[in-house]
Amino acid sequence: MKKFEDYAKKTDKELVNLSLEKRDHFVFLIKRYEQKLLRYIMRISGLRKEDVEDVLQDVFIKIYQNLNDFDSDLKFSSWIYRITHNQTISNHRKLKARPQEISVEDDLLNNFASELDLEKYADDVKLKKIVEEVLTNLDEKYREILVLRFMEDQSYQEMSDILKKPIGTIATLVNRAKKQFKEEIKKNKLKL
Amino acid sequence: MSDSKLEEKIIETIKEKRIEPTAKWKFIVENILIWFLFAMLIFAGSMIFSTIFFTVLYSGKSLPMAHPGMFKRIFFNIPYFWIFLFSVFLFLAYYNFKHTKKGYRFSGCLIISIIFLASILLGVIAHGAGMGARIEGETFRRFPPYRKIMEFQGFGERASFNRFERFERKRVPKRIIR
Repeated sequence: MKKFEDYAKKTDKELVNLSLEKRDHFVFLIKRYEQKLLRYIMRISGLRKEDVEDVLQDVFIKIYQNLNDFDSDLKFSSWIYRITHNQTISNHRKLKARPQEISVEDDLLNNFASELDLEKYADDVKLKKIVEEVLTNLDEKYREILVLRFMEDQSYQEMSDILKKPIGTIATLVNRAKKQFKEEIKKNKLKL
Repeated sequence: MSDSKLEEKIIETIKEKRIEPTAKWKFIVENILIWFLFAMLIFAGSMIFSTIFFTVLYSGKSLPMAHPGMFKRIFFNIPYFWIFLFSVFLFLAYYNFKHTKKGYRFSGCLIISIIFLASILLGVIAHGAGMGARIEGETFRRFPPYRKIMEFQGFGERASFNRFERFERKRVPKRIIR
């Protein structure tokens, strides 16, 4: 088998075709996406790392089983995010787990805060704590919207493909999620 | 478990459990079946709509005099049974379309409007071909609960026959001219 570097330049679609020819090639798709998906699962579920890895394993097995169903009209990343989202929700419900605190990386905090107009309130340390606390307690449907938009940096079209909802509905959900996020801050009387 | 071991574990599991990608033809067949079912639901919906046309267009004059008021006339003239059935098929077609590969991209209003318009269009054609009259007649003869509903609305056997007669009389001259 060639070195990993040889496969780094290949497109997702090429790696899909190679994986269908020989299953060992699937490892390159796993390597390309495992960190992104690991973070995404943690962000929407708040599960512990061990549980997240179990979910991720199920996700990649499902992706492998459904490789022939990949629609090249979609971005591959949207397709695997969709599978990851569905599998995470399914596993999360089975575990009936309450989310642990969602963590927000520092580099994403500014992006998050500027979109939600929170910069004026506090310094970065306080802001990080507040964003994490509110995000953890937010309704699941709004949390996943905010995570996809501001933490995973997905476009409306990509979110539409991941969540299988029309773009108009996605735009409405983003607005509602932002509104609920701001209301949560006020309701809890958080000291900013 | 370290991250580097995760991919090894996944590949091992795939090998151990002999997991294979589902064959492409299975997805193609599944997709064709969903679209075929959708076409069937639209067809059924249009047949029902042709029956609604028939019952509305050829029922009014045969209403018994026991219901002289306008609202009563309207109330007893509405083909509830067929409207209910059409609503069921409309919902099934909508649900089916939403489960096609790209169905999620369209709003519910747009999907329902398109199904509705397609059913009306095909329903008018089917009505012109006499499908509505035939379906209504057969249902009246073979489905006792429907007969009971119609009798409650003031359409007994005689009224049903008269309605069909009027429809046929209207169609026959057209055939002669041709």
